[in-house]
Amino acid sequence: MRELKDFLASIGAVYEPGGMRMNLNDRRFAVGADVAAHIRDRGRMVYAGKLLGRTRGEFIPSAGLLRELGRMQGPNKVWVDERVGWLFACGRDVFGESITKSEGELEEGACFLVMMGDDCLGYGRVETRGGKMLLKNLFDLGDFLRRERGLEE
Amino acid sequence: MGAGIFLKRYETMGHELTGRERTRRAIRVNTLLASREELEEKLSARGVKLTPIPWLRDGFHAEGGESSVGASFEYLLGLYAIQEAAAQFPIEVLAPTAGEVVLDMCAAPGGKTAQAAAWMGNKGAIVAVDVKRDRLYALENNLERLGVENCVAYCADATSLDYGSELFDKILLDAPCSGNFVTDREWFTKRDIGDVEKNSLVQRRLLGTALGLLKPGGTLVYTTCSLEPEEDELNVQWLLENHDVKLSQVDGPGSPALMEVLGRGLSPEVAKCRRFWPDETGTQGFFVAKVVKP
Ligand SMILES: C[S@@+](CC[C@H](N)C(=O)[O-])C[C@H]1O[C@@H](n2cnc3c(N)ncnc32)[C@H](O)[C@@H]1O
Repeated sequence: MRELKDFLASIGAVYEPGGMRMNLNDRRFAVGADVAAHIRDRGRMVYAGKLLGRTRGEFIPSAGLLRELGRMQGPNKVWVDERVGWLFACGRDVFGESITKSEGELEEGACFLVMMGDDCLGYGRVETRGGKMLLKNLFDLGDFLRRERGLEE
Repeated sequence: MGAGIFLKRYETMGHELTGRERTRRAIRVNTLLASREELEEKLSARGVKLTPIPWLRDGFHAEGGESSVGASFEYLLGLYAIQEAAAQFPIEVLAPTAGEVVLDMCAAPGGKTAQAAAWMGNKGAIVAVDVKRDRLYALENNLERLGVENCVAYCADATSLDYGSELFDKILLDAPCSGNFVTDREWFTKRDIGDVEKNSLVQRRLLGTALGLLKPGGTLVYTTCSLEPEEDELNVQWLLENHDVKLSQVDGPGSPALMEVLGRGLSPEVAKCRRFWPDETGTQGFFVAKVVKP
């Protein structure tokens, strides 16, 4: 799971998922022993255990992985208030001046989890635009609403 | 076919429905990620008033709030699921526990799969099956958002499900059915009795397969959101006549299932099942049977 390792390195996190690793198309899972013991037909399987993320060029962490990383000490994190958090969850980037607190070096190319209190809303990469620092949105939890809309259409 | 024929049927079963009954908005606290108190506090800060539904462990009616309950931080963070009140009842009856192995035969979009995982505290295993790949995408999103980690899901036809020699402690058969008018405004224009009869045959095949996959002593919960007796009481009667099973009493809101339908008397055992009439429960129509394999 090279993509997962690269992602973890990009946010400065040390994390080793427990359980058996499984790939299903572009998705990466960690499957606990209880569930692994009941897998019979891998051909028609669509989901198993804990989703770690998807590889779409870049690794896109799952909500569960973000939740775990958000609770850990060590990964790069920035905090935003609720208004900016909602804009971020709607797919927007975070401007430097909206960051209320950070842990980790905010240097070009580094990735940060976007936190609102104890909750992780997604992650982004530090870039400079028009001479100003911003965190480019790489993934946010609003993706669930976009996926739901996609399924309704 | 129109509303008339169905509303008349319901009248012969003792319920004068208008065809305009609707449900209240209900949510389920996802106990994998939040406590009732935590969710109540967070949503009340957004102006959403939660009122506990007395016959559900984790269910609330949700009123008010400027932002939609379907698009809040708490929703995105998986702290609750939007799940109609009656639809939360079957898992309460199945009551899966940590360490059990549970089969959810018609699982998508996964509302009850995720609820079962919460009852099991993400321990043990749930095998979730649905025949429609496109509906399974919604199940996958729900499992991810709600933090479910003890499930393996398959795209397969459950009528011919073969799971090696493995048998399950508990099975949920939330069968494909005709649905009901409460949650679908177009229902009366879409449905006729022919559909109901066709569905009933598929349901019997699913019931037969389910019993073959259940451990002796295991529990099967059979449920539909149909008010039509062909899909409810008559299927349970068929089960009693064709399989070695016992029924367990289902208590709760609503009424005991009917013992006489469409001019036919049924086994008094059938009355152990539960029927949710929209005019009585304020929910959609629902039917729940708890079947035990000796
Ligand atoms: C009432 S819905 C299930 C709702 C689901 N249990 C929930 O709580 O979200 C019935 C489901 O049965 C599925 N289905 C229909 N025929 C099936 C079959 N032969 N095998 C497996 N699933 C089937 C449908 O695709 C549909 O998703």
